[in-house]
Amino acid sequence: MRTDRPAPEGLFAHSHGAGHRPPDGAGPHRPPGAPAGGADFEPDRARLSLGYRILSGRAGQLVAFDTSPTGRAVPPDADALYLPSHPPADPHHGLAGREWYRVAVVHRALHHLLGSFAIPGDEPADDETRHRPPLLRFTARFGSPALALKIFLTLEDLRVDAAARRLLPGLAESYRLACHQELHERPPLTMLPARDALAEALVQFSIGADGVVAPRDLDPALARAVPAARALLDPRATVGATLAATIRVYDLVLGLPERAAYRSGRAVRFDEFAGDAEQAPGSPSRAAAGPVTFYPVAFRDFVGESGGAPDPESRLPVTQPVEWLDASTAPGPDGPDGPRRRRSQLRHPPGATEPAPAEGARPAAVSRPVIGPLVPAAGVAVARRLVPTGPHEYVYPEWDGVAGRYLDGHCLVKVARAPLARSQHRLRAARARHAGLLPDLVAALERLQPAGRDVVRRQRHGADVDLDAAIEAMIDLRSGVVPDDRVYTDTQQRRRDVAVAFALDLSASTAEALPPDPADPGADVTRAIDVEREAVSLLIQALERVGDAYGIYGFSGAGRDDVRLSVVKDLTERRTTRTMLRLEGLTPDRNTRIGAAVRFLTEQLTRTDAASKVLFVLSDGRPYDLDYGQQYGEEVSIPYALADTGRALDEARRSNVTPYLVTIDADEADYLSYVSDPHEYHAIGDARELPGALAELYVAARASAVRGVAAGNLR
Amino acid sequence: MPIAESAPYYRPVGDEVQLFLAAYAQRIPVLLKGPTGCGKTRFVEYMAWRIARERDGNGPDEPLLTVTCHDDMTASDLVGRYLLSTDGTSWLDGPLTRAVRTGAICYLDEVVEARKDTTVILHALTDHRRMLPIERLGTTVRAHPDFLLVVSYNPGYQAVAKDLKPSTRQRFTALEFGYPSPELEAEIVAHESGVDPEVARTLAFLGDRLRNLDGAGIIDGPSTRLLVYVGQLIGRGIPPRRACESALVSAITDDVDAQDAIRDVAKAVFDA
Repeated sequence: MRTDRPAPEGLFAHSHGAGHRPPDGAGPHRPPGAPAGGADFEPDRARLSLGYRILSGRAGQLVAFDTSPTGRAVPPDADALYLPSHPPADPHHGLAGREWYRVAVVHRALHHLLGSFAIPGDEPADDETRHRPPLLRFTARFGSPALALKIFLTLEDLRVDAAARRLLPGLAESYRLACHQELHERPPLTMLPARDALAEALVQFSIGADGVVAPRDLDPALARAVPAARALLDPRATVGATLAATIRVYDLVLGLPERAAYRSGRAVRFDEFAGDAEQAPGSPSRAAAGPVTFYPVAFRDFVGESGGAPDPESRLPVTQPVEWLDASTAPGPDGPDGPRRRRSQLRHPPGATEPAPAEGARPAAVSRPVIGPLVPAAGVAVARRLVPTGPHEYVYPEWDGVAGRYLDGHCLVKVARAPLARSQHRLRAARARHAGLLPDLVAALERLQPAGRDVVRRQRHGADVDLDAAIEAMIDLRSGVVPDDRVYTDTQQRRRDVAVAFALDLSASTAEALPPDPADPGADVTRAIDVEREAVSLLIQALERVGDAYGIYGFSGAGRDDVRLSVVKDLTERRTTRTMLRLEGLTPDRNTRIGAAVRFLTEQLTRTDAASKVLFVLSDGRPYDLDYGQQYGEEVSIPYALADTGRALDEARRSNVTPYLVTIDADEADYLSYVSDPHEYHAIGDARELPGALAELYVAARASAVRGVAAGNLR
Repeated sequence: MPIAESAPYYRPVGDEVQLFLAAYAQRIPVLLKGPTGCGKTRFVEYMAWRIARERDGNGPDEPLLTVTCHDDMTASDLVGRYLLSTDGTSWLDGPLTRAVRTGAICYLDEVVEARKDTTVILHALTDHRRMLPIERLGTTVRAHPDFLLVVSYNPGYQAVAKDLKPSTRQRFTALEFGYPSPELEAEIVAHESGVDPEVARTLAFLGDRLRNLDGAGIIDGPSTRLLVYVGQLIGRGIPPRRACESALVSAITDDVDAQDAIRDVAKAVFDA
């Protein structure tokens, strides 16, 4: 159907609109399901995670340990980086919260860079110990493994942070401020039991204290412990040196009394204990010791559930991934108030007599049922005609299946650029996940190349001389005129003559979390919108390779006067790096008025000169909008919307555009099957299969188009 | 490219020099695989210089002919074409034909970019026949005994959508290239850029760390070449952080989060 005003060629050729504003609380940074007002590190989550990966070579996921005690689900191949949701307040020293988090993440990354967990010379003694992490096999050789672990971690933190200052001089000032901040909150040694006091002295030495106020009776132990720790500041110190120092310090701790008593203290400087480190005993002591408290350092330690005392194992990669959230409490679609629960109550449209097709199956060739009963149109007011008010607004009619007529000027489609996401991490990961599909897809599409080659004349380069052009050039030469240098012929493969538009449903329901993948329980929560993007992203790579023209659009709506069309890539545009950032930037937004979107994209496709025009509509359910049939009553809205959608699809076919509808809703009753030709409708039972399924569908659609072109050429 | 007086700078990473010489001795075509900017082209230049030196002036004036392949390249671009002049038409040999006739090394860089109907002309050259059919002349040129074909490509970038046909791939012996170790890369960066060795070591450390993002598919590289550019800018007085911003952060990715993370690490390794 014609619009009231023709769309200009090359949408956005001269404009760079900002696109639709995402709904409050949504945005490309916010992980799915993350509450608004989360941890202070949320705005920098991606940046910090990437920084961790750069330094450590490992994937890391930030977890706010103090607000999600059961933990955010961490993929099994990523390290959990437990951090407080708010950094320590620092009114005096000027260390910004963002810098504090950088120091904390860098500290964790450098443990891996410097091999803290690569214990040398470790040989599992037996089958029982073979499966334990190397560090825990080492500490198990002590009489009190937990104490040995705490000593090791404190000394290794010292070695790592010293190396951090050497390797990362640009971060030295932030490190210094973070350590200085810690020193203001330390417990006094004179109030601690002797063993705890030695532990605290070592911690303070490790965060750069010049000295401590220590009881005199601690001097002999300090005189031996401090040199052992100082040796780890040497740039040549490895984790082996830390192991030796751990054995030495463990013995020193055992040599101190356990009882608690206040003692007077004196200020000592650590550089008073200047001797060389002693030779370590050959093997760890088997003598046991009671608990010794190592008070935490905020940027290093995860303060676990043990009342503020550090839980060192939580900082190691030895712990298992956090238990997944209980599905019954998950804020997903299966909850008591979840949208799927509400939609299941609308499982069958009123009056429909045909059973729903089996999940995932293409519907059999059935005659289209009457959508009804329909309410008589008497008494319904005539809606006003809409008029475009801006350069990228287009008005389309709508089919009123109740009245049996078109409503002219009924829908206003507003076209805008999709917003740019900051990064395309998710799409990159998706492309890597589906990379195995791409070679076969490209090969299948290449086999569908139109047969034969065309000779192109008057080229600047080519295999043969264009005789006509050469004769003209010779004449020009002999006449003293500068000849045209296009005197060759070349052969080119016949142009692929297909234009395809992908329309992605951006209604709010596409933001609902899909059920967890039983094959990959640790995977990030996935939504329908994510799967739609992944599927299109995969296909783009193949289309670029074989040269099909394509456009990518997202559609949603908030009433007939606000049908939103987000342009990722227009049909006539070349793909750029921004294409993928716009695809990543598509944001779920309200409702699904499919009819108007189909009409707009049909018009775009008919403006191309491609011999074959294909429209793919990816949706997660039925069409629905605020005023999409509700003028006749809520119970008529479904059949009304389906009727208009079906009519729009018919209009597309009459315009030589072949529409394909792909729905990824496993629970619903395949509403769209009622308004589609059977071979054009496909239901994907498991949304995660969409990338592969869409690739197959495209090959089939492409093959059909090639056959159609060939048949036309033969006539 | 005519023979240079002094050897092009190249620091071997493994046994690639010995392997190439052995392949050359048998005139086995060579395929170089590796990421961008890791030294493939410099290696070929070095080997061509070395082989030319060993021939002691008895080789061609141009011991190495390099062609950068692209998907608009036709067979004529390699083999040759007729040109028009006031006297009529004349045949001009393409770089491949010149190398075949004179006994030079012909180096096809990024060979997977070329169309498959172009690369198929290499088949007769790269098996026991060692001949180049030239349809336009109606002749077949037998390869000079010293002719060698060398090709290269970047498997990481192109592997998913483009690849050599098996019938083409299996006519070559392959040498895998990667980025050098940080110690060796520091030497290379210091030599090529003229920057202070300490700065070169820092750049090599930074490059080595950033390649963790390459391994995760987030960025490509950075290449040794890029680190040399940063060093060159620093050597010209640009503050290190600014040089990294220009020649590294902005060059390597448009992804804002990745840029921020790279910038953070670059600022951490340099304090100015």
